[in-house]
Amino acid sequence: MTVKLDDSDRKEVLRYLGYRGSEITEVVEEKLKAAFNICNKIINVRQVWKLYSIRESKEGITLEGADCVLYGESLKKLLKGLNEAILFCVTIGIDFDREVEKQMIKDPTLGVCLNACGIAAIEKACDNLQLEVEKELGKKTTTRFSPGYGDLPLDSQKDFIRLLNTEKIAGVRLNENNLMNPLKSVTAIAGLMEE
Amino acid sequence: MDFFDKILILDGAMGTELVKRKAPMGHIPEELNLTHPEIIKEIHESYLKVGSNIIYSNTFSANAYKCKTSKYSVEEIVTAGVKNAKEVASKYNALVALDMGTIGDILEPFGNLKFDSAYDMYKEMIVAGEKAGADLLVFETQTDLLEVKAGVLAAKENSKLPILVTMTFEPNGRTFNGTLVEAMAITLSALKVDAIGVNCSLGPKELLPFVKRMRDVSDLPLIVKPNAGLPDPKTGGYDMTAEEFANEMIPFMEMGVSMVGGCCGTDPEFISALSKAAKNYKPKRPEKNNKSYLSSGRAFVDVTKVHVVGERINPTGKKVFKEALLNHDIDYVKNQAMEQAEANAEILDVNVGLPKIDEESLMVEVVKELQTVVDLPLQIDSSDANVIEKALRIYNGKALVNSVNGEPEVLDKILPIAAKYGAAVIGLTMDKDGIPSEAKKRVEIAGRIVDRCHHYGIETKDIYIDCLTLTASVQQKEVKETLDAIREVKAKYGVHTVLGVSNISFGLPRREFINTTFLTLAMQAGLDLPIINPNNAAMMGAVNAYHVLANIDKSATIYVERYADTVAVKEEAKSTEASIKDLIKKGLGDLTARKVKELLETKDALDVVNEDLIPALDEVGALFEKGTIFLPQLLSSAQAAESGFAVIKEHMAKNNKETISKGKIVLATVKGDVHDIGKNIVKTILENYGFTVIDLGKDVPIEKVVEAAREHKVKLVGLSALMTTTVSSMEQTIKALRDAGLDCKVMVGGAVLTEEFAMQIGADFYSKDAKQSADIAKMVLGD
Repeated sequence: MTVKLDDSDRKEVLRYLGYRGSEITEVVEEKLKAAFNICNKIINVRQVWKLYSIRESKEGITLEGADCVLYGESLKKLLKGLNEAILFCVTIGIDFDREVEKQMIKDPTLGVCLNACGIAAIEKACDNLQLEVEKELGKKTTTRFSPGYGDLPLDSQKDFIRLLNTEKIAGVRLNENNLMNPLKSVTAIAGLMEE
Repeated sequence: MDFFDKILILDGAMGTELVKRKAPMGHIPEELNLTHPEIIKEIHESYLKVGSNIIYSNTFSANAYKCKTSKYSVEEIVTAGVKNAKEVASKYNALVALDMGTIGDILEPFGNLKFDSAYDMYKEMIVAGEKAGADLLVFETQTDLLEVKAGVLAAKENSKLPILVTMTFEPNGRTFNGTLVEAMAITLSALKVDAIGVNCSLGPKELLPFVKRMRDVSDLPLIVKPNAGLPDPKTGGYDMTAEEFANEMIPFMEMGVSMVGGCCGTDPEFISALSKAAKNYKPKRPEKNNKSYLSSGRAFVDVTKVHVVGERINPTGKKVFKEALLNHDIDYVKNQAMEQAEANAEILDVNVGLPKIDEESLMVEVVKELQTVVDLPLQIDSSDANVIEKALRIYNGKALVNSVNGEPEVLDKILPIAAKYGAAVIGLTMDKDGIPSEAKKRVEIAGRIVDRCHHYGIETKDIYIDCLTLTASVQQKEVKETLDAIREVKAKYGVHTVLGVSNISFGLPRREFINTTFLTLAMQAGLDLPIINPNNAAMMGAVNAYHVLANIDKSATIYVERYADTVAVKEEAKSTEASIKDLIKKGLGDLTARKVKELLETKDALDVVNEDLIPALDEVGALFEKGTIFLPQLLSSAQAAESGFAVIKEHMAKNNKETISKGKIVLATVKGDVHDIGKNIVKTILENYGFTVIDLGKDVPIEKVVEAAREHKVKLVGLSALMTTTVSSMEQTIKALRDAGLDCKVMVGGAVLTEEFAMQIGADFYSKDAKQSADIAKMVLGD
């Protein structure tokens, strides 16, 4: 599973950079181009997903057989009436973090462009994973929802990491503050809908 | 324990077996050691029955980080785990290895986990495990070599048990964290563990090349514990049969590995088949490998040709570097490292010794930070034994130590440290009487160094003798002595050689001529590691040309790759009619520098700053504020201005004027937070407005911010935090600054902050972006 950014992602990358439609200088154009190339060269997408039966309970959404409740009203709203959901984790790898670290010192302009490419890449990888799952299970997925969104506590990050065994399968670890490493990693839940 | 005696059979998966038995997993499966010991013992026994000689205790995740929410202590879980295993193993005359997986948290500098904390967590397990009767220690499924090193040191310093290490590699031959197969083997061989190998992630077939690569660089006994092939992407299950597995394991046994077993997806049937297959084979003790290796966690050098050691990370005689160290400008040092790496240096010398500086903590920080941006092995350069030890301890790899000479006292102080951490050693052929003028005497001193190294267990291949360069303009007839000494020490002792080259030309014009010629003569005499400035094209050219002429660079492949289509002299940027303002707006750094140079011919430096550079930045800033331009443009303009400022600084240094600074500002990403992009953007902008930024980095302890604010007497501190969870440490940092009674203002910024929130946590200013931080700085510190 790999992800390549192309021209169709340019708009997204510019959006992350706060672009509001003015003329882009030649120098910045070059940096953007370089950032796309570096990003495509060094990202190493790793992913894992699992299917769960879900049940709505008073406090939130219970994942059957997982000894896990994902708290809050916002997730309940998203998954209203659904019986199944997938949990997943995607990362673009540690080398990307190293490269941003380097560029922010050497060439901050390139550094921020690269960082924005990383965000676009990880989002694209998540989209791809959801498409893959949809194809395989023959069902549509809802939008994805991550720990920290709405009233789903950031602390539920721990459950995602544990249940998906992300450390072993994707190399994603969590620190005490619920920050993931590599930095460009996403965990999320998405409901499954009959087509 | 001689691991070359016979092939030892390890066990297979624990997790797979627990799932099969529908064991109640609780928070971590290791709690079963106490709640359901019978299940664990049954699994152990199932492996022992089919021939396992060593079983792993069920303690993979039983460390303080992963057990935090368990009602049992680490000691209880580990003790029970080892005892369960011992109880059944003793019936089969088998051994028990205390099994240790990763801590689960992320080590500095990418995470917040301190090296010492990782050490303590492993130590806790090791002490409990040994007490409970473990026969061996095994670190497995590891992905970060530095974390392994913390564990290995914890083992060596607190236990006498043999140490086994297996790491988990991706198809590209690196772990998730980027650790390279060879780097692991070299580093752990240097640390003198008892056996190394691979486990998990892939099947036997896929792991075979990695184990061969380990054998190429290491003499240690090898361990192989693969998965049952590759998992089915749909089910996550494995479909290899026990016989197929055993068959695929035969090539490992043919190559002579010492220990074999299985990881995910393998069960007693697999181990039974493996055990039968192993009966026909014996481990092979490899022939002695006489190559010297140096490594980082991500790359290695086998010293078989001339390898350039970059000399730039050293404050001696470098005004700007000194200032950078005093201002704690680690990014400057990192930049020097990256430049040298790009210029094809293969090893980097690191020296941060300055009077009135805490060399120990600075060295540790620099060594840590350099490893985030360069892959090259480091050469730790200091005369202080404590500095050397601290640096070697946290260095991820096998380093070279640049510290000793022929003085017995120095040798006896430094060599045991180098030996303990498995570092290679540079020995300078001088003693208390200085540098002998004759080659013969220098060779004698080298002999003494070699003897002392051997005494402490440092092998000949890891000794690098520096025969020392004298200055041709003063001691012309002794130039030859250095070259003779190089030849002699190589012939007599079989050691490697290293030499700082550029001293040769002090006091002479066109030093490059002298330097390159001397370098060439030295290479011909047998110099392995020249310490030079890799940014110097002529010196690097000499090295590359030498490799061609000495028939080392076959078909001149590397030479052609580097020099085809290059021109000898780079053209300077052409003059331009455009104004500085336009150039900065367009982000054209070279042209800006050129223009500033021109202006300086007729204009005072300070006037150029105040009338040209700063107004240009102001205008760009205003456009950014209005949303006319976006962040990359703001930054590219700042970088262009930076090129202009660099010319000004150079000009002022030449005319012996004080460098201009509008005042110092301390910046930090607060404790617990490792997202520092925003802070780095702010730094770039502030510096280009002429402020001196003391950048404390990310995840900065509260005390460190207070200390820096006090030490540098700053009037403004900038703090950033990205996460809601870390805003509280921002609040605490502000409080600590106030409590310390420091007369400084605090500005804060970060994704989750708002003006209101910033005031609530006690900040003086909220800065919504980099431009605003510059406005605040101007307000507080004056234009």
